[in-house]
Amino acid sequence: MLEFILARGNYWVIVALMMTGLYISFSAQNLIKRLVGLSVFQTSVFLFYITLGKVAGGTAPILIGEDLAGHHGAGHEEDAAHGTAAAGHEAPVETPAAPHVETEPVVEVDPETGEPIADPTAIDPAAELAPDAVDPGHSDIPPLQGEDASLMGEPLEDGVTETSDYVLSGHDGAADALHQAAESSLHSVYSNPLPHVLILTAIVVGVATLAVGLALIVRIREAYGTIEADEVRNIDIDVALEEEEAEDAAAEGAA
Amino acid sequence: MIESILTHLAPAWAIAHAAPLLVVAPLVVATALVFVPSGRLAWLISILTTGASLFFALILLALVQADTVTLAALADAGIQTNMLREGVVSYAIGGWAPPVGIEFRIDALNAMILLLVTFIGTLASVFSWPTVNAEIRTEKQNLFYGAYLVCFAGLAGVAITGDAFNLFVFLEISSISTYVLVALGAGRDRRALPAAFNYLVMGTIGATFYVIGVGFLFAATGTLNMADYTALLPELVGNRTVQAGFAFIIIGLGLKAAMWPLHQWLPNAYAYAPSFVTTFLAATATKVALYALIRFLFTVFSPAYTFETASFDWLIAPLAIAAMVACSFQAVFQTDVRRTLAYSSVAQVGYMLLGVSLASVFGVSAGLLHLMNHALMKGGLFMAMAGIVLTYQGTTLRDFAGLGRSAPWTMTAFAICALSLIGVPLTAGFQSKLMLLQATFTAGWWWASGVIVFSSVLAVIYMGRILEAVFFKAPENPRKVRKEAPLLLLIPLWVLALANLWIGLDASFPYDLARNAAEAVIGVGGQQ
Amino acid sequence: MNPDHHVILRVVAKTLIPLITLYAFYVQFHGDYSPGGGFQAGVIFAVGIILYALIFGVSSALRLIPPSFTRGLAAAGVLLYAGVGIWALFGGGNYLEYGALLDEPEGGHHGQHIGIILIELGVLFGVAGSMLTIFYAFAGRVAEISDEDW
Repeated sequence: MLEFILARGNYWVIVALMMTGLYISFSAQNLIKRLVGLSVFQTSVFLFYITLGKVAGGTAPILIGEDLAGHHGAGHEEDAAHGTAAAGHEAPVETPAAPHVETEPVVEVDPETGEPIADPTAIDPAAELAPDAVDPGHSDIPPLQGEDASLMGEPLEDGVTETSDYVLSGHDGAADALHQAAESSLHSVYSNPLPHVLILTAIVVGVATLAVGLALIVRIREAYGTIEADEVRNIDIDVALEEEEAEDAAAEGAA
Repeated sequence: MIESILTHLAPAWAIAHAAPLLVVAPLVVATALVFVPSGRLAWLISILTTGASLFFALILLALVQADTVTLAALADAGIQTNMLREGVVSYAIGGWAPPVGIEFRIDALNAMILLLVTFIGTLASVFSWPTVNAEIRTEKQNLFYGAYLVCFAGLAGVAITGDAFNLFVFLEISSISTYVLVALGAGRDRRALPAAFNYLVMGTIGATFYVIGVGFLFAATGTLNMADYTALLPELVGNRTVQAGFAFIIIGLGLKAAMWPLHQWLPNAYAYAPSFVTTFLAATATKVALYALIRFLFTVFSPAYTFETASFDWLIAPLAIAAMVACSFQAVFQTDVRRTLAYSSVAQVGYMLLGVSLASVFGVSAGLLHLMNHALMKGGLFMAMAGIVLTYQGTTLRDFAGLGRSAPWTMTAFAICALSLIGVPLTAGFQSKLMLLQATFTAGWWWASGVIVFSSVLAVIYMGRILEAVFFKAPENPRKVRKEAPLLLLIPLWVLALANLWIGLDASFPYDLARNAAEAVIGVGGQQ
Repeated sequence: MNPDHHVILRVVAKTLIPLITLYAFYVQFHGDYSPGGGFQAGVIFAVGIILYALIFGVSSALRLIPPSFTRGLAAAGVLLYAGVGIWALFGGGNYLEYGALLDEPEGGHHGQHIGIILIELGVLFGVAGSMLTIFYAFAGRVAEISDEDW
């Protein structure tokens, strides 16, 4: 039981953040607090994606050591992956490529939560990492999905409380990752850069939303003199009632 | 007929790159508008840009509908068409072959939605100038048109992309610019600001739900390409990760599409936004979100999954029914005409969802036909609204009294669209409602047919109140500035009104579009 | 403002701001083959200007970089990005296909290089421009913080 909980540390954090954020954005009357809740909610999703991209035993998706020699100038693709959310992971000064991958620690510890992370969605790093090695438009990139689908854990037969089928044990995930690394002629194991890129995009979207939201709050404060949602609503209702009375009076006067 | 665009009109580069240019052109022009000094110039440029997008959409439609002979002729002429197979255009952005790269993928369904968005966008651009000039400050007009084009590009992007995450990005591009556009209504009525803020909170939650769902799908399959999902997901039937992803995506897109009861953001946003923005949004924004919903329900997932069938019967159909009844009732009790129309929009989304939830070719094409017709009639109604706001500065029922005599052209077009909304014979609304009725009867959902009729009776009541005030009451509004709406506004309005009548007489063109679209999506699901 | 106040802040900022700006360009121009790139560089660059505005006042920052310029910068960034894509169309490739930018033989990678650098430059302009625009939009709304408020 304890192992079940600990092995999914990231996911518990994500769920907690998600619920907190949603609750704040619905329950708070203060508009700024609503935006804060919204941001917390979005952040939980960023963490979700980053967790998905983590390959146990994998390092940051930047070619290092011997891999670098084989791919000069490679790595154009992942520059976008080093967004703020990924900053914790992204130190390129990590372990130089070990010649014997078996000796590397099998379980990578996430610096943010201190929990071991496993992820089966390891996409073949070669296809993602070396755009220069592959001619664009040329379809010799191996289809990613076949292998990944096979990595999926089968749905549990008894169908009990297993909430996340795709969480394999750290060891299996690492083994798969190492296996893939061996296949793709890379010497080191890398995390999947794709979720990082996606989340960088999502962060930009989040920043834009936050900026527009804050700008709206500034304008609401200028127009209403308050940033409490209930007060704004009351002011609106009062004004509408007054207008209606005035119009009724005018209509009667005209009649 | 439409193939002549390919053979005679369009240059080779336009045929080869219609897909990205449709989205990129408005996006680039939108940013370039920052450097344009005058609002009038920005208006002209945005007409040209949306017109260009309409042209590209027509090319894509022609490509999708082209038969092998035409395609072979194009190939002989050395024109690159990016046809994946007959009826599907696939464009790899950056030359990265899907599923690794982002793919723009157009089949009959996309082509129809793209045509709708660009057509309405062009008409809305034409009509926009008088109302924008009246409602937006002079120094902001070029930026206003910039935001509008960004929104337009975002909506077109949602409709064109074949990549699940890219869809989120375009959805948010359009949404964020929409929040800004709605908030600009504050110049006329400050209630636009809280409306825009609520829309922002709800819209962001919806988009984030969608991203969570895509994350689950990515976890299960390792891909983001929709066509890839189609191929991979059948192996994962019963997988709870996929089911969770399904649930999140349906809720997220349902929120964007104003599916009852997730529609709370819509009435205020429509009621207080600048008239032009309301016209454009009412005719396109929820439609595009609905398209995304259909795309996920039928192409990405497939009705063959039991969990999805269950959600059709127990979630989408009841919610559609609830929307048709509850929001029609709410529409009856509004005093502000714009709010009446906004609530009616939510009810009409219910009609479309009901058609979709039948999960048959007949039902989905009925839903899609209603989607198109509703865009035409609501676009027309809100355009007439914009004219009234411009000339009489009033939106309440009281302000509408007697307008039929002082502004006959505007109000006749309004009446045509209103009758179409009710579903009177010889109008577009009749055709699609009739088809929905037939579809529900065929499926044996007689109770749904009853609800359609009942909801239409409610439509008679709420539109009838307005029409009665317009044509049979003495004028009460003292703020008479001009009698008729300006010509620039009347022309697009009458184009839409006549389109409603034309479809009412002969629905073959939109019907074929809807039918092809439904066959394209259901066919893909059926292959599995 | 009283020049005697915040002497330390001013001196430190004066040395830091050029370094921050320089670092932004370091991140930018190493972004094509190592961690970095336009997004981070744009934010770092904007941070340098925002720091300047915080220390020396928004009005002097507005003189240095007016809002019309930041808006134009953001737009120019997007135009540059999209322009590279359209350039690729002229080169006979798909939209944003860097390989088609230069008319080079099969297997050439210079197009990729030029493409990614230009794209990242577009991102730098876009991000720096929009970050500063957002900052000005909020900072310009309220009265400047007086010395007593520190």
